[in-house]
Amino acid sequence: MGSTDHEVLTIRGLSKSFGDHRLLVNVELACDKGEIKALVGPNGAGKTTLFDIVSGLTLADKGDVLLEGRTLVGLQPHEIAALGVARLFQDLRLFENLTVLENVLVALTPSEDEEPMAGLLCGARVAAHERCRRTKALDLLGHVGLLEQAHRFAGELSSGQQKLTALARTFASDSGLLLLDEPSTSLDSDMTERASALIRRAAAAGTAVILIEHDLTFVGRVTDRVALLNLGSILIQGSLTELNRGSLFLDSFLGSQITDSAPGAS
Amino acid sequence: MSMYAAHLVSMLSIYVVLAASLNLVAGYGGMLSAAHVVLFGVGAYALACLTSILGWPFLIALPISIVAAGSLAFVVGSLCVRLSGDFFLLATLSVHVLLQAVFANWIPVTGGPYGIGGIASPSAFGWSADSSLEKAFFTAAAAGGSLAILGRLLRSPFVRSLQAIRDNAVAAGAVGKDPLRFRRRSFMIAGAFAGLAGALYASNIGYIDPHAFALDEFVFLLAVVVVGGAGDARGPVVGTLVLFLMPEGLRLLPITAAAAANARQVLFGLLLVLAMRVRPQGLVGRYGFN
Repeated sequence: MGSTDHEVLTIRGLSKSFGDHRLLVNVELACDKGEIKALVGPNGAGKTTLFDIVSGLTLADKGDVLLEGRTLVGLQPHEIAALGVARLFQDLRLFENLTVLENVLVALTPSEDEEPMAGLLCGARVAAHERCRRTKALDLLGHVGLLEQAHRFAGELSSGQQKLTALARTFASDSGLLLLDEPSTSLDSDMTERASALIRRAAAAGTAVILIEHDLTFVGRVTDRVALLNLGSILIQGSLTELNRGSLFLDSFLGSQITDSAPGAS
Repeated sequence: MSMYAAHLVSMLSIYVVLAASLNLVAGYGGMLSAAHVVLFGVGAYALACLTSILGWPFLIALPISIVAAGSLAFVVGSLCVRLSGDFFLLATLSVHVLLQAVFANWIPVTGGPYGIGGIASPSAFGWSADSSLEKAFFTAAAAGGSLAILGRLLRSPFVRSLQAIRDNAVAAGAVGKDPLRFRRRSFMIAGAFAGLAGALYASNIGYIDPHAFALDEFVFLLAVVVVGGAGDARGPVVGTLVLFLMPEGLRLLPITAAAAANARQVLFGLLLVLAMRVRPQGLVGRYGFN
């Protein structure tokens, strides 16, 4: 698969095994600038492992991950994040003893303002940057409806509010690629609308978004582009409408064993 | 102010700085370092060697002592920060044991079990702190300056990201923070302040030996941080006041000095266990240290 100029993420021939269990088998996937792509499939299909490999938390056995043509293989997670990959974790992983605002501010702060001596020697400059960041963070919290919770500790919020905090943190940095692992889980209808608006807004600004979702209604709200991962391989890619017509899609999504159709599946 | 009161002010000032520096790594960074007391010792021994053995002036020996402790902390930190939880504690505990052995056995430099005497009092530009009162003023001023610097650091984006790493290192990495870099730097800064506290301690007491940097001092220091409130800037101040002044009450009881010293250790242990069980966030903190 050759990468195009507007391709933000290119995954080529990616394989990963844990012992005898082949979790990912020769996965090929791409996401363009401004595209929202939903990665769907049953539990255990390897979706989160694929995200872990892209974000540098797990090493692939084989294959390559390219961000705008540059390989991410072998980089540390913080180096990958610095290149413009942001991630929403399925289990959120909030900074629970920091406030909602601080959770977002951590993601917004560049490394030059985090030098220990910067706060002591260039206090005025760092303070001015910090004021700008606070304004941006509060604006973002306003978009997700968490302005009133800004000064509450993240660990004290409801699960829906925690999900929105994690989303705000993920969207805070100006990333070229967003990896969202189940963004709609735990959200009520109002929160779901806010989350989908945030995703669409990011894509409209040119960010490539890949989201793992089980809720096809939510998928339909934000995108028509779907890739189906099952038994470690991308089985089909296309528009949600097209794929919904095929029984293969539904069978796979519901977790049926379609061993014959899965390339490389054992 | 009596000599006793002046000495108490000096010791309170020194331990506030020492506890505040441990609070940076343990409370804000989530790294419970058992090596902190020996870094305090390195600062004390460096000042003692430079002023007592080499005869260097206090004003030159003081910054060198701070740099010595900070540099050693950087080395120890670089080796240990990849570990977490119990493994980090065990690794720093082994550093404590190793340096304790150096203090007790490197006789030409540390004086071994006999220690080093004749350590220079604080002095600068022709002025010398000869009385307990002058030492107390100097030490309190140095502690005040240190707390002001540490306080500013604690409100900085550096420490905010350090706290984020403490709460969830994987998520912090996913927003571009290098956990090892933050941990290493905070460990070094805390080590430098521990070195300053050690240098102030040596210049106040005038004599040091390895017992001053033994493991029971670490237990005391940990109790100060936990009882006061780990991860809160006010915690070490409150903890030091409570744990220093509470045992002073033992002096009022009709028991011998030896019995009072033993009772002091029991009291610290009990307070530490009680704080961990009943109020892990300490008297003024919010972060539940465990």
